Amino acid sequence: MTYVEWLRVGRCLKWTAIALVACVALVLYARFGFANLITHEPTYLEIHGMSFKQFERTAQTTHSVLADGTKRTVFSNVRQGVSVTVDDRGYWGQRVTVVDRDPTQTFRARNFSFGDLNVRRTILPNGTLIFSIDSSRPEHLAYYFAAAAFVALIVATVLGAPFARENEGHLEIALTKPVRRETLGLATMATDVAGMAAAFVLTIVFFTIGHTIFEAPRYVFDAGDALVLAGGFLAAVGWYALLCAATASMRRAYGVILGLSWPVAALISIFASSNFGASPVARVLHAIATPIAWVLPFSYLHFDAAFDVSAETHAAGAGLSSLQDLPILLALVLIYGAVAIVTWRRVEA
Amino acid sequence: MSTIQISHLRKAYGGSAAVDDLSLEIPAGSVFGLLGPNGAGKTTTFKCMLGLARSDGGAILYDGKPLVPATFERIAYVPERSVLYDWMTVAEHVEMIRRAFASFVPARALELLAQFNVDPRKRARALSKGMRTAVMVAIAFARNADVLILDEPTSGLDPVNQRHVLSLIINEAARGCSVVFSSHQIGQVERAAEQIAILDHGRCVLQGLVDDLKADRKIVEGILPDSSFSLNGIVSDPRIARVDRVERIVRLLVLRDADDIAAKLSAAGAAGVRTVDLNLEDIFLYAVSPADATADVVAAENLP
Amino acid sequence: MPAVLTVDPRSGVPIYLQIIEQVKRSVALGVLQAGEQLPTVKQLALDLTVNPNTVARAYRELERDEIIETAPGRGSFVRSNGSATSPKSAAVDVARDALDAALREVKSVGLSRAEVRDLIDAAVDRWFPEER
Repeated sequence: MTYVEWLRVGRCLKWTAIALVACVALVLYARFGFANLITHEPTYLEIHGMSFKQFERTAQTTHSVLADGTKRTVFSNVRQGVSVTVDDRGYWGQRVTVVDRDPTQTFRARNFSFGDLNVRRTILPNGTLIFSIDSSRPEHLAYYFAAAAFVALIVATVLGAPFARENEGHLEIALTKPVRRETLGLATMATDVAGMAAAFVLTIVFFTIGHTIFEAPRYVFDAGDALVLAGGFLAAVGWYALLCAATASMRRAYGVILGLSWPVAALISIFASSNFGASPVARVLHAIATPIAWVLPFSYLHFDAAFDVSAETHAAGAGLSSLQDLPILLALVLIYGAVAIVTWRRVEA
Repeated sequence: MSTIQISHLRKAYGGSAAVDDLSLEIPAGSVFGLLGPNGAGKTTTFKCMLGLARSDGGAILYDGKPLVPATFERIAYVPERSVLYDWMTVAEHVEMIRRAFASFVPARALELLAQFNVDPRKRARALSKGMRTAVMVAIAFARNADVLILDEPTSGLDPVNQRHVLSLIINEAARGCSVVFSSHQIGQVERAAEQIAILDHGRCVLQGLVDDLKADRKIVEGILPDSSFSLNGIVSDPRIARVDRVERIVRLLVLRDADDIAAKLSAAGAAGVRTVDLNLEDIFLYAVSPADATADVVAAENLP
Repeated sequence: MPAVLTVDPRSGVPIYLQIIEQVKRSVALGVLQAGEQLPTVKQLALDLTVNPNTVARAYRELERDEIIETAPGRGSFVRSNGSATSPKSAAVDVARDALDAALREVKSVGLSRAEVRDLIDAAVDRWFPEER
């Protein structure tokens, strides 16, 4: 019944896989092509106005091997009160700790996480600065789900006009099968959603492969991750349903809708989520965009959340603002899906 | 076997009627030819029959029942224009139909494709117009359907393959299948159809058995003594559908009993009275074209 | 037998009448012998590429005219007995139709009965000189 749609999904997934394989190939090239550039010394550090190389020359270096096999290198400059400890666990990650008893600047405490990376700046009451960069932390799956949701969103946009594609001169085949139109419409959309789910899984698989090329992956999954999983996928499905509804009665030029959908949705999301000052124009734009964003599944996804997370709530690279977005998204999926089918039912060949 | 009844069908596009009060009955197991000039409403009629277009009035019944999704299991349709998916191969089209219809015989479709010299591995975009028609025909005739609705099933085909399609139609008809088809090539309708209907401006202007129409409809022509000769006694005859006069020559389109009318015309004083047979093309042209501007009398109201 | 039959669907003469006329002519000329089997309706329809119901109609008329007979399950055959089916009577049928057509044309040119009869006598003399 939906064989043609399966073929479309198959083609789309083929290209998705090709793109992901290309990404993994790039990662492989980066890992082994530039292997000699990857140093086990934290050359990016700057200590008391010196580069790490300069600091290294002033410091006393001791090597040791810990009981679990970790190679520990300590660079210590007693005169400046600075010691840098590099715990290199090879494929299992690296942890760099800088202890500075006499910082030349005043710092604020800071904690930043992204993926398996945690950067923490702690100031002890005696003024000692402890700065650690840890790349061996377990990683929240939310990052993968966010990336997968992004890919699913692209796939949703590519597949987003299944009815318009049939309207474009194929209804004589599509609508003379022994099946109700509503059933056909639902099955078509279900096929595409299955394709999006496959793209979602595919992305997670390839990201895991890409990650594994660099270091051992370790994952955690909690309620926050589950929210990103459900919300990310639901937002992509909602976006797909919206595109279906918008193009269900079109016979041509649906590509224009699909092509413009992203810039338009992005602009609406941006204007809705941030206020560009107090100028009247900006306020009007914000006022207009905000209610539109409520019904725009696209704007429920936040890919900007990654860089301002606190230590305590784990870093979700993207995802939903809150749990109550889920029922709203579900409602949008159902409404847009129903609109798409009702609209398509009325199309004549 | 399936009787198709179309009663008082009406379909308008933007205020202008494409089909206007059309009633047809297509008996089970007959081949029915639908003729008409471009835009007469043939394709619209087919689309209404298949529910592809919503009719604005009237009813279409298959064996007395309205069209439901299950009815499509018994109907095979060849649309007027290519509706193939450009990016799909011919074999994928066959597979698509196999998945949709229980009674479809893929091996038969592939056999027919081979007869039409269509390579199933080719993508539809690589096919010529005629080959696209052939693909739709091959799929339709492998469906084992009870009703075949064929809208220009020979368009783009070479004469050999056109004849092949006609043979397929005849084969299906002999199997007891009801076939409705339209063609611009009246000669094909003349061969394959048992019955015809001629549409013009969305209305049925003539319907009947091809052989009966040919047997009944004749032209009776004669030469009158002078150009002002009165024919009032004859042209009021309801069997005369149309009178064309050019100078002394009079040509009568007779609906039946041509010999009787010829005798009357002779008796009225016309010389050289003779009867001319009409083929389907002549019958068609008389049905859809207005009378000559030079004609003195037009008894068009006598048309059935 | 199929090779003997051809129809011209584009002519103004109904196809079933063309089939009837040709079968009769074939019987008259002895091309179709008594008892000989005719093709099935479907076969003849396919051979001539004409509608099967049209062929069936011709067969029905031929049966009614006692030219052929149909045994259910076995097919249609040229009748071997009966008044209308001798080659002679079939020939008379064919000849009568041809004369009718010719005379219809002749009549339209407005000659008198006597003039037409003279013409026919002259024509018969010309076509059948040995039987004078």
